Amino acid sequence: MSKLIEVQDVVLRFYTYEGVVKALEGVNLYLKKGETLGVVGETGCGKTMTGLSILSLIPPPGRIEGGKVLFQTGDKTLDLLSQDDATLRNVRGKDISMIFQEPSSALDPVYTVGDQIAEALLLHRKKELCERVLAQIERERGKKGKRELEKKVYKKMLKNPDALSLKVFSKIPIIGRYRRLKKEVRKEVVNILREMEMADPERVVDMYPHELSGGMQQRIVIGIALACNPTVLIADEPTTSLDVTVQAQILDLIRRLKKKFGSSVVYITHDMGVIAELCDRVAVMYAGSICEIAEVKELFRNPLHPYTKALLESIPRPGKEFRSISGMVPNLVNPPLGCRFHPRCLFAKLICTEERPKMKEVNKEHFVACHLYSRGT
Amino acid sequence: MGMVAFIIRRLLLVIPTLIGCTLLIFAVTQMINPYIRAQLYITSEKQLFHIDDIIEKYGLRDPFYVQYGRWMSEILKGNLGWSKVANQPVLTAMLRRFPATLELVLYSAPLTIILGIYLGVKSAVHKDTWIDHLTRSTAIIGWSLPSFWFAIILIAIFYVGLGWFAPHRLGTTAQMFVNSGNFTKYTGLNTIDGLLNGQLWITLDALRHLVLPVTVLVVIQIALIIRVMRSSMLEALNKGYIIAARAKGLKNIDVINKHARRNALIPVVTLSALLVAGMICGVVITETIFAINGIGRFAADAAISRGGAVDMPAILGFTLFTGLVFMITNLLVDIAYAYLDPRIRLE
Amino acid sequence: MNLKSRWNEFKASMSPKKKELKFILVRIKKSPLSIVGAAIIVFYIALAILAPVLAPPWPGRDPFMIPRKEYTFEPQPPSPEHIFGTAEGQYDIWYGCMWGTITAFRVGVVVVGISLTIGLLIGTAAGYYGGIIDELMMRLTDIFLAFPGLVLCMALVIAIPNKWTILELDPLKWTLVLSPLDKLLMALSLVGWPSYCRVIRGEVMRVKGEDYVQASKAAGCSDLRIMVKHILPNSIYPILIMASLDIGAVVLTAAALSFLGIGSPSGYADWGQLINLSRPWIEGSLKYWYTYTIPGIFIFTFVLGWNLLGDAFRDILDPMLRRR
Repeated sequence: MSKLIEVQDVVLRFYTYEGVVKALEGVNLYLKKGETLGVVGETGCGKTMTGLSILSLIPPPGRIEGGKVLFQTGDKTLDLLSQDDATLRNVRGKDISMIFQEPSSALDPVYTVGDQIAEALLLHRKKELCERVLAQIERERGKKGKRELEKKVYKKMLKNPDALSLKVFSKIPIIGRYRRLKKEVRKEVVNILREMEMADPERVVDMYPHELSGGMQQRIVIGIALACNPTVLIADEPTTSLDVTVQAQILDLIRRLKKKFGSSVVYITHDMGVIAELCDRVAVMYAGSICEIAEVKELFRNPLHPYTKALLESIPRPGKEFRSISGMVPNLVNPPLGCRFHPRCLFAKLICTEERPKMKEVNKEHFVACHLYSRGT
Repeated sequence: MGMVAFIIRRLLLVIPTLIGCTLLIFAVTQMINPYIRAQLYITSEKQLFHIDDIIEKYGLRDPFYVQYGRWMSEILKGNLGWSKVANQPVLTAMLRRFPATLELVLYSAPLTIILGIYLGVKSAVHKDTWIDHLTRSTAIIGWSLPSFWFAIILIAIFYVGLGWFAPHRLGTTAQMFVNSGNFTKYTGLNTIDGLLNGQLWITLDALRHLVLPVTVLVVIQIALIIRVMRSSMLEALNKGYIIAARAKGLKNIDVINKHARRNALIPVVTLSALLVAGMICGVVITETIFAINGIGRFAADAAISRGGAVDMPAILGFTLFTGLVFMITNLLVDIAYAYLDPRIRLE
Repeated sequence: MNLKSRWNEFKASMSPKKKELKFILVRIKKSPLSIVGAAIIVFYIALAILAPVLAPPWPGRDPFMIPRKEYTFEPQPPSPEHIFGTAEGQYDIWYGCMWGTITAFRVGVVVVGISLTIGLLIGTAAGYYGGIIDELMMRLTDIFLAFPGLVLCMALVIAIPNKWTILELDPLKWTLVLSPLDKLLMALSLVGWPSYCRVIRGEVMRVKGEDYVQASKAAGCSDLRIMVKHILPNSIYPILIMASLDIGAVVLTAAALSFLGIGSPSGYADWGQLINLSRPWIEGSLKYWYTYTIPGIFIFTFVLGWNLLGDAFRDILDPMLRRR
């Protein structure tokens, strides 16, 4: 029942040539341990930005101007938005990981796939791998002098991975350029690829991203994210750019991995079908703020926010008349005052044009931000 | 395996271009009247007096392709004609002067590239701050400077005015020592020979004389590298893998150096070829002004007409030579490009 | 009202162009260097136009040959009679700099104009028709581009004969007499066109692949119409940037060649040539600074103006290109 991640009133602004884009206007949601939270909304509503805000990865000219992102790690609760860079780097990739929409853009074209997974491993699991190497050296028989030297090197690495002496040593061929560590890392990378259900992992390790298909690339991206067993995985529309058949495979993979590694997932998408399939709870987003959060079944059965209702109505079904939501997504430089959905809302009242509705718990764990429910119906 | 196939393919492409270049130079020679052209075929001074016989002998009024064939066979034998300016066969004259030019380029090119890359990266990472504006302004000023004028100003200030640096490759005492029997010219490059001979003062003297010419070459050429590196870096920093790398928890400096810079370097590598071309052009002027006896000065001297006739063989030999050097540079750059960007190897 | 509706239609069709123009103006305001560059060029244009007034030529002479009253060797410092002083042989530096502006424009505009035209014709043909024409043209440009610019230029300037017999039909004999400056212009153009050819070909090939060209073809447009109406307007921006940067580069190369003694003849009103005259006077003392400093400042600022302008074009047009 504990809230692993809680996003409180996050405000995000982009300062561009064409004006200030108010991308996120008070986003509130929470992720519970072990569950899959879906974040659904149209293109441009701010879902990706919410995901990036959690890890403080907003690119300039964007700036987070308010709110908190509370993350429960161990027995402490950190506000990720007010941490310094070193702490954030410790969280990224290790406690909270992210997978991206376009796998071909998320992978660096000049490094092999194996190198990129290894990069993640070496950032957070170096100590563990060094210990493995040391244990291996202990077990081996052979020239004692060389072994002692190697033991010293790896012990030093355990204590202080960024030491200058290590950087200098790596250039000297006698130490074997950390051959043992490299072998160990490679073994681990192949393991990860196997977990990702990649065919022929030994060969793939040395391949470049452009030599792989979209589905394989996405598996690599997932592999990088899960390399250090994170507690939370943020998946930003991971299947949008893939074909439907590959989509199904990747969704399956994510589901299985979630069970295996026990991570909690924030799944960002615009596809209601995926939400229904994969998620436990879902948050509906519109124009920079959350409209409604509820358990998936509850949401489909009993949608409360007018936008959610319209969204569900607009899903094409055979035999049903095709309905779309009238109007257009607002310009976020000059968004509508009050509730941002009011120009397109069939139930808009005067107060909707003046005041932004706050999130209220209407049913058990069913939150809505709408004036229809703020003072009784 | 991809690399080797790529290299072989690239080498094969060079051959038709090489032939084409010789044709171009030959076409240039055909524009000149036969008397001057005859100088291409003589190997000693005496023969200057028998020009008409030479014209007959070498059939300089024969059809185009016949002359081309003969000319090519001479070139391939290494006979580039006789140079009036140097009083030697052209090839010998150029080979003797080559080390001086090599020394100049050897210090200028790496400095330009390394400094240019560093400043370009800094400029891009600190976009729109004073660092950026200062670097870009300096770059554009350097690009607009006439190289010969900049060299003259430097000489006026630092030699005539302050007396810190001087033209030529070495001071008078050093030059005499180098020419004496006590000094062996292993490479022809004074800085290296000084070390090899154990005469450190020669090396220092040579370095002191290199400061001004190298400055000229670097300042003029660096602008291009900075500009391209900066824009390439800005593009790379916008790419998706940068956010992905940060999401792994990578330090900002590693993100910049390991990912952004590595990708941004790729277009800059192709630029290095242009840099070499620019250096060759710059060397002609710089050597002339600083009185350095390299092939650049050789060409500049040859180009001035003395008493009506210009030293044609020298110019053509120089053109052919630099064309060859440039072509080899392009080849090496293409190979380096394929090494840096794995996507190219498939093409 | 027929007229009113037509006016409204016209306004509507202009509105995207108005938006682009507004966008350009905003970008110009944000880049002060572009205004500096434009100001410098305007200044030099004014100078070039006013040169006959500022430095009156002597009657009966070629105005581009600097006149001189005396023939003494040593350069004279600036004085009320010679505002910038005189160069070796008593050539008035002020006169040389003023008329040198015209020479600079002439060299820059003519060379870039010719290179651009040749490059445009060959590049468009190569890019549009492809196939063997493209292959041949590309090999040709490769050959020219295999030589460093200055080097090839030197060889060409020297090789081009002073008298060129184009046509020999008895009794007509058409001979072209080329002055040294003409030879310089020819050589520079011959060295310059391949770069334009390459860029234009690249642009043409890019635009050729766009859907609207395919659509035009499907609608039955002739090749020429497609080239003029679609391909040319869409590929013009990079060429514009290249041309303005190139004028600076061409003037620099021409100055360098004149400095070496290969370009304009001695005594010609050319900035590079003036510096050539100052060569013997550099090393002795700083007394003759005006012989090389002043013409050099002219060259430097002229080229700087064009470079700033070209850079400004690039900064302004690049986001536009990307927005497409």
